[in-house]
Amino acid sequence: MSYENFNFIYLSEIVGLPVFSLSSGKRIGRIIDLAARTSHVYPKITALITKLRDKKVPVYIPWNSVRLTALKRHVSVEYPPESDYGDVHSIENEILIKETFLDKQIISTSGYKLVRVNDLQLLIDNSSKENPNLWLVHIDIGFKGLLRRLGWANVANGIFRWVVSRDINDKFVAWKHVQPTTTTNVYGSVHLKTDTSKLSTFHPADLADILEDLGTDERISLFESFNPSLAATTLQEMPMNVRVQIAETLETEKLAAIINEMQMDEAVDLLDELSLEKRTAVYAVMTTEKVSEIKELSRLSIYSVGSIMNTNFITAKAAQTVREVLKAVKAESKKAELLHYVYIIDDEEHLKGLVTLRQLLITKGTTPMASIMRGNLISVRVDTGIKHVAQLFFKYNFRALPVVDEEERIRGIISMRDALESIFPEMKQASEG
Amino acid sequence: MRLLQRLKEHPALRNLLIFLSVVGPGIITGSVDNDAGGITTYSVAGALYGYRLLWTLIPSFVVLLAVQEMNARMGIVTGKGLADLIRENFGARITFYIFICLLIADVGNTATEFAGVAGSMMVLGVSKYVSVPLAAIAVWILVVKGNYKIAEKVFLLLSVFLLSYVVSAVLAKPDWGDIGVALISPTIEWDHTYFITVLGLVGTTVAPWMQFYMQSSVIEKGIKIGDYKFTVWDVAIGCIATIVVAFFIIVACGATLHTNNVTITEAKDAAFALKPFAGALASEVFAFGLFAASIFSAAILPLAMAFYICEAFGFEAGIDKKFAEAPQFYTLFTLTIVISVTVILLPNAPLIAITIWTQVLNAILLPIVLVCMMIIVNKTEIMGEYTNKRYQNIIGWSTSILLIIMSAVLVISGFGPG
Repeated sequence: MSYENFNFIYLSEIVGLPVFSLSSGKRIGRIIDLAARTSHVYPKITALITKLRDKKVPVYIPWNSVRLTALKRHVSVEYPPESDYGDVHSIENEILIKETFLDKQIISTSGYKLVRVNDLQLLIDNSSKENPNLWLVHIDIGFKGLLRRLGWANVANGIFRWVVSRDINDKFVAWKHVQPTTTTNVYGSVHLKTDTSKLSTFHPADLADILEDLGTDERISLFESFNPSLAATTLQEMPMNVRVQIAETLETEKLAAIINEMQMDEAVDLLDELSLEKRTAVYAVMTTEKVSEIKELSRLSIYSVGSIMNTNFITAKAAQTVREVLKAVKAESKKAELLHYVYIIDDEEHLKGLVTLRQLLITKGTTPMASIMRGNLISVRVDTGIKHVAQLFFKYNFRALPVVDEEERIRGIISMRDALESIFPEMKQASEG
Repeated sequence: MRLLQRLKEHPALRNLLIFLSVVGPGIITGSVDNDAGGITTYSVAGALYGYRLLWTLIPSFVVLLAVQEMNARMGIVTGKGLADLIRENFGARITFYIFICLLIADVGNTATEFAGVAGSMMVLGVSKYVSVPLAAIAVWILVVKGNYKIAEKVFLLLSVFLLSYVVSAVLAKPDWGDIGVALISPTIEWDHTYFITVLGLVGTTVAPWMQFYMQSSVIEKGIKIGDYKFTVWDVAIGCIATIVVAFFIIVACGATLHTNNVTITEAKDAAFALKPFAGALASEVFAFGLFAASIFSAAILPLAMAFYICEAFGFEAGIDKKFAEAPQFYTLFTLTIVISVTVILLPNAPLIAITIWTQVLNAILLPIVLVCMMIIVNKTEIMGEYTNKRYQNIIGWSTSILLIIMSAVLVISGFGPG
């Protein structure tokens, strides 16, 4: 039987195969893993990791010394191999595919969920004249893959075909939809920095669900590869105890960067739950401005608006024109939780009025705020009870209310969402599940 | 809440609050451990040998604590269930065969639980054709339609009822002096039944499924490694509760049945037999305890098993998912209950045979699972700085070896207690 007869092969059919020496024709060991370079579109198999009979440490036999004389039964290699396991050949993006994938969990970026790997499907590429190349193309997550591992695939498939007259379906994840949760390179070191670009299409809530289901190490190594803003939004979607678990394992610098990106009220909640040492460490690397803001929020009674208000909001002066203000809105759009309202203040930050985004968009660019703003605003005080605020939302159907201090200076805004969340904490918990 | 915040800064109160937040897994696992099978074994041992086997509870406690602590530690450090870890470290094949055995043992265990429901309700005058289907439906609804948080609280409450055995024991008016002596001075008899009964006692205290259950519940709680010391307390309290309940069951049966030479084969026999010696109240309290324990475990065992199997083989699982999202999970759970209920409702159900074979299967599985655990817990790449300390390895390995020998003996002789 020769390799030209088939185009695909499973990893489970390769691992354990005997390895023969081309020169002596003798059996020298068996295959325990395959190394692959991930820099291509598909990972290309670069070496056999072989356990030799007379050596303790497995050897790295590069692909160009391999002759696939009868794949599925045995392979022959030029022996001695050019180099040992862990030599110069092993570069950073060369991974062990069995160690990395088999029996581990991966994220399927097409199904948006965690799946367990039963087998790997490799493509045998006969196009080159010399040795055929092997490419990792599919991850097998189906029941058939599991049966194959148990050695029952043929028997089970036979019975299945006899009963419903077709084969058991394969269930594959194509390589382009595979996000590993852990990576082992040829040095055997695990949990390397992972490239998580495939996760960019995920909603933070889905990411949060997946991270919650992962083991601690995988969770941290994936999480650490996120940029701070993705990390912040994902963190906010998790239940508090998981947030704390993650936060306490992160490096202080990294954590501070993430907290900087979080909404103020969420940042305060998280810091409150951290251990004293971690909190102090985080404060030490954050700007004093931010720290005093956080401490101020944290000091306010938890039953009052002050504790859940958001301090990122958009303000303008009465004399500013629509064009100027729109520019400011654009600039603030990343940080502010809510863009719908621009609050008009005087030089002492006293709240004077409000302009909606809609008004800004439909009014001529040169119009000053003073002529379109609505005065006589309904506002709440920093120490107003949250229940009362929620009632106001029901009554007036606002998206947000400005929060002012004793002297009518604006200190923050509270969104309907935040007010509802703090009244129905159990609903929030249930939705974060 | 703000007050809570301030309280949190107080060291002692802070510790108490953290403890209350991590408490649960250990105590619940400990309580599920005293299920119908356990109560049967303890009752039979008490009736047969009086207080003479009480000493076995001390080594059982050490073993139980050592094993459960490892599971809690593995759960907290890795964030992965035991099924996950076994699959990732030992491959698909071993995992598959372990789980086939676990599944069969689990159906047997669940059947024993429903037998416990049937027996205890019989003592209270309810036919098994009424009590068992009702109990099964209640369990199914609680798990499938209910909410896990509520279920957990109901279970914690039920575990309090296990203390009813203390009442039964006190009502039986035992001689506390004899008990004290029996507890600290082991008497070893070299006859077959004695040996088998000792094996049964240890075997029922440390059951394989508990390791999976313990580890998953710790993860479910989201406990961080900094709070690990509190979890150890939770585990210790759970183990103490298990042993204390076992102690009082043996005492209750020892003080009455053994003294009057009554031999029994089932837990409900114990409840019936207590009546003439300790009064109707003791009998009913005993039956009620049996009922609580049985229904508690009947809910948790199938649920937990469905969970691990799905976890290990990558099927969707969880009671917050719909049937269409997690078909394997619900099928496994429902099928386990349906099969075990059917078996119990069959006229002339071979109850004793089921109990024995389940115990034999458990006895084969336990050392396999333990050895897997010992290997995993000593891997630095998995456990980091939290691998076993020397003394933990000594306890762990000697326990494993002892259990392997004991299980081998149990399997070879082919008989459980009773």
